[in-house]
Amino acid sequence: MIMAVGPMTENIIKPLKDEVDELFEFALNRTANTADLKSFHQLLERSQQRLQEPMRVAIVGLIKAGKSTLINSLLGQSIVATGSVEATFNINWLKYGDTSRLVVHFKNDRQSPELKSFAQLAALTLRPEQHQDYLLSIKYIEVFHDNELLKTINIIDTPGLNSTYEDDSDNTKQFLSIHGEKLTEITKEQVTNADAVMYLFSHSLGQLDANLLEQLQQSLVGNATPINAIGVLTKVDFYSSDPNVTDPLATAIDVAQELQENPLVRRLFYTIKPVCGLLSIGAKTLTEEHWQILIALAQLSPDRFQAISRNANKFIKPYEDISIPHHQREKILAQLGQYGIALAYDYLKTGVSSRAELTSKLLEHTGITELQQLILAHFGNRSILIKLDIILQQIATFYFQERQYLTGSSLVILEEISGKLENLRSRQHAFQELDVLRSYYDQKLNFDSNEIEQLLQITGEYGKSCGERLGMVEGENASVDKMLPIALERVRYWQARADDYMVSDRATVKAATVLARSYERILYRVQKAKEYLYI
Amino acid sequence: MLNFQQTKSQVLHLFDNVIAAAKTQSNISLQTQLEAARQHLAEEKIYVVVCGEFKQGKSSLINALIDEQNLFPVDVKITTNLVSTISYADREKITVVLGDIGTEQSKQINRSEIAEYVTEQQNQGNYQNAKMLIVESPNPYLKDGLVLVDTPGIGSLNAEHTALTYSFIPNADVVLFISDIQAPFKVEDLTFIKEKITPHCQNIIFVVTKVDAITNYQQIIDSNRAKLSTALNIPADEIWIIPVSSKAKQDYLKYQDLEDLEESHFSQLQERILSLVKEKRGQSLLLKALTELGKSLTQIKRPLEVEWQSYQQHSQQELDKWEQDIKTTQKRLQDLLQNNAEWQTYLRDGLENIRTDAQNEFRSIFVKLQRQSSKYLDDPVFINNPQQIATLLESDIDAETIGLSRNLNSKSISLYGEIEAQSGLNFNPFAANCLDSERAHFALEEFQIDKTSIADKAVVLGRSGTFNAGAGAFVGGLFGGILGGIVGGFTTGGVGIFSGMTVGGQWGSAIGGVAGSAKGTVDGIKQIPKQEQGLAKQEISKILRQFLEDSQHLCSQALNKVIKTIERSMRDELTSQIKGQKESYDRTLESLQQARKLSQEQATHRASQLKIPLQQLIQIQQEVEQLVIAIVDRSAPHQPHQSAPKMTAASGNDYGGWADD
Repeated sequence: MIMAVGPMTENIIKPLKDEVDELFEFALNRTANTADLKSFHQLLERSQQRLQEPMRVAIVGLIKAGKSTLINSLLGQSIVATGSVEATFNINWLKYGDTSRLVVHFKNDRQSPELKSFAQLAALTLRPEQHQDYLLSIKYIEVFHDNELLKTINIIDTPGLNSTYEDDSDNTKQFLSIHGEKLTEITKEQVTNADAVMYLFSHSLGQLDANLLEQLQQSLVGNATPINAIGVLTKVDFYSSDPNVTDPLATAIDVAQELQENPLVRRLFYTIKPVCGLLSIGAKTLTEEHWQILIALAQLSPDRFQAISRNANKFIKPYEDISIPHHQREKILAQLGQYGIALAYDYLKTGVSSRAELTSKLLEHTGITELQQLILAHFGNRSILIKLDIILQQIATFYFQERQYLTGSSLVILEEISGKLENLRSRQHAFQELDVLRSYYDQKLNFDSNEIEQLLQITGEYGKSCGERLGMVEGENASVDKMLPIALERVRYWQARADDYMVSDRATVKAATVLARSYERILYRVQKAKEYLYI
Repeated sequence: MLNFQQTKSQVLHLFDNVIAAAKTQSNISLQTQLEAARQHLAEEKIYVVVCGEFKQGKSSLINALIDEQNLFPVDVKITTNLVSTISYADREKITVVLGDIGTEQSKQINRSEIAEYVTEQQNQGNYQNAKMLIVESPNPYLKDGLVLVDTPGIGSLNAEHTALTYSFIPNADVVLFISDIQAPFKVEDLTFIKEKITPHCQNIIFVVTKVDAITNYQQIIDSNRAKLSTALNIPADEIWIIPVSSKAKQDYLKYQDLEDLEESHFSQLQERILSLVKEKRGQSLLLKALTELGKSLTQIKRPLEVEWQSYQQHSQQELDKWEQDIKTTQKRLQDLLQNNAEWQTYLRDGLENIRTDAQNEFRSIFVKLQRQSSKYLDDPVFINNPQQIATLLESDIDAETIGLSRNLNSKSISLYGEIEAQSGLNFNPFAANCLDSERAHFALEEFQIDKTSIADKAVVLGRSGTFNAGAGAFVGGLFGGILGGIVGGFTTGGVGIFSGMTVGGQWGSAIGGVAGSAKGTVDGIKQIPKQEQGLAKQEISKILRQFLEDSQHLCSQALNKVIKTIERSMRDELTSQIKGQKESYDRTLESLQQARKLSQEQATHRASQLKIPLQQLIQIQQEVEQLVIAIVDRSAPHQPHQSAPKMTAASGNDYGGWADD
């Protein structure tokens, strides 16, 4: 018998979201008519609003890390501009909207935002030659676009960190160098608005990346943990030029794996995913014209094809014996890159006969689907928890700042609300699990590898269903009968571990206690499910 | 106009002639000296250091440069973690140096074993304790004495790699700064170039790799050029940026398609390296050899010339006066050889001053570092990672001591020059008239160097190369022992003075000590429990203070030893010079006295016998002189010891005539 347990258990334990909604409703009512608490009321309103919004993910990285290309490939559309030298100049905030449009926000708060047409995006984000003063006055650009992914997450596209901006004409240079210094600062400031970060890097991670990321994580309100940071190894497409590499994605997975063995890297990222950015966006936006060029290319003999395609500069040269015009070859190179063209050639030679089939075959080599799934699972699963965690910390900070200036009933209200929120935090088991996970990433826990594995399972790192949280091979399709003994065994194990305070340090015992409680909850759910099933 | 290779072979030929002349005079010591100098010129090594951020394709570039398919391990997964050198030998030999600094041992390995030592992947954290890989190969590209140095990249998560790379740059003849076409220059790269390369070596070629994957690479190169121009304050058209594709070169080796070779742009890079090497290194190299030749010629010619002159109808009084002059000079040279000679005191005092200055400088450096250390401690960046501070301080110490060491060298060079001048040993090695003994003054107050004469310029220019050995020694010293010898020889080295090996060993023990104690310090900081970082700050500050005090102690001890070694080698060098001069005057006096005993008839016969060898010597001397003038003229804009930062392209114009072809 196969049965998903998840949905019906929602009724047994009160969902976090409902509790939070009730609490905010209460808090907003209590603070509505008190002049002293006006700013607190506004903070609560903003926080409530933020809880309703999609998760905000900031895309950051050094210059030319492939940020814009990755965003386009995640969205499956060429929306933001890319270029061969530092491209992105301003910060774009990509959000879901029925109609595509831009809203420009200015550094000067008194200047009201301006509405612009979507077509102007490139002109507003690429390195400016004209209208410099105008572009300099921009704080960020809201980009509304009709794209499914944007319903789940908002994307904050940032300029590359640490660009010198010294490659422009004298006229632009002065302007840019002023802006350039501030750019990293502005990016850091904008990251404060984000709930999570995707850090992009090509080749390998260096000390510079590590330093920058640590700074960025510190600017994510008191949330400097890998829970909300994913590393993305970009430009894997270009691994194909290495004669020793036959499968770039597989090689890149190895590279990512090795990087994650570095303790410093483990402290920075939840995980690292490799992506062929150029090929993903290219495959997703392949047109009939591209398809025809590929068909013509497939007519070339393997030797001839190999001789010209092994070097991009040769590939676009005019040759007498090749009838495909070089500008067409240039076009397909820009679309798929050398790696994509070589793959497409092989697929066409081995029987792939439609454009759609080719696209899906090519995408298998890119890692983009895995990244998308990870974003949805990791950020999506914990969306409310991560956001609430940030909000509660902001409110706590506010409380400590304000209480010294307040007296009488205002102070009583502030303390009451802050107390309730604090109570919510300590009562909600989900937060305690989050704390355990954080301690794990901070390397404060003294568990063996088996225990670590169970820690990651039960806290939902591999999925939210009972089966996944118990680490069953069947995952979310695990049967109740099979789950029950495992849940029971785990509860006993972790209860014993939690009593083991003679040999473990305090943090470890505390974590074991939380995990024992997590298993008890799962056991309870599974037992309830069994009752319902056999009535 | 002759190019470097032609000039060099001409100079080597002149050496042969002079060596033959020394042989006929049975002057064995001079002959040995000349043979050593000739060999040094013939076997001159030229160091090309390849550096840049990690994972930019340095090892691939070296493989492609010397037509090797896989000598140095290359892979997207592989990072190099050792310094490797590759130079010419008749048979291939690969040696890895293993063990702790000071007690390291060398071990021969074969090609397939290289990866076990030089890659982070197979030799993680360098558990093999390898220090360096030395490859010798019968590769035609290296035959002219080119030595390529592959360095671990800067900026990786492994700080040791970065420090190692820094230490190799100060003595490079040419630096190849490698960057990936897809990674535009960052602020960090520019800072590295400005702070770690240009102060030491102005012969930089910026090599942009992996252009086979990019069609519009010219745009990126232009962007890089503009950035470099602003950052280094050099006109954009004087910056050499060469785009290359190591892959295309490998493709060529594999498929023999000439189009691949053309697309690789490697011939441009090779040409540029060779011409740069020859332009820049050529002059100091040749001048040094020519100075040596000039000195020897004077010594050989003096007895013959004086004898020949004595047959030319001079009065007995005149000849008496000559004899007296020579005896006076002989006496003075003899006096110079005494332990209590004035120059000995001057040498001791001079070096004592240099030592005191350097010790004071060390003190202020370490005061500065203490201050820097507390600044680091207050920096929020290091809150989570305080052990980084020790690594940073170590690299600061390295940088400061390299600076100090260079300073030490230039001061020692001036001191040496002063002593030479004061002892009358610096007389013009190219003067035609040997009887100009008036120049052999020995009194301190009369000391003055005429910096405008061609001869002095030649001597000074030539010497600036010689003394670089000191700086090389310092770098060599980072390793000590065997490595100190190898790396210390990583300079012009050569004729006498400051042997890289000895001085290197001494700095080595000190810097090795600093590195060792930095590692201990890092471990010490790591042991402080993370949760109590706030309280731990005092603890860390204590550890760091101890580290700096230990380092200061080590460095100042090393300095004392280095000064002693310099003193010894300077004294040996000066003594051997004086001895050479004295021997020449001994011979001169002997031949004059012999000549005066001859009958008229015998004298005429002897004079006719002397005429041809003397003319030959004069002829050689003139050739030497002409070559010197040609080189000094060409290098006129160049002032030794000031080394105005000057980029390669600009100099390329200045010395245009020196390039091959």
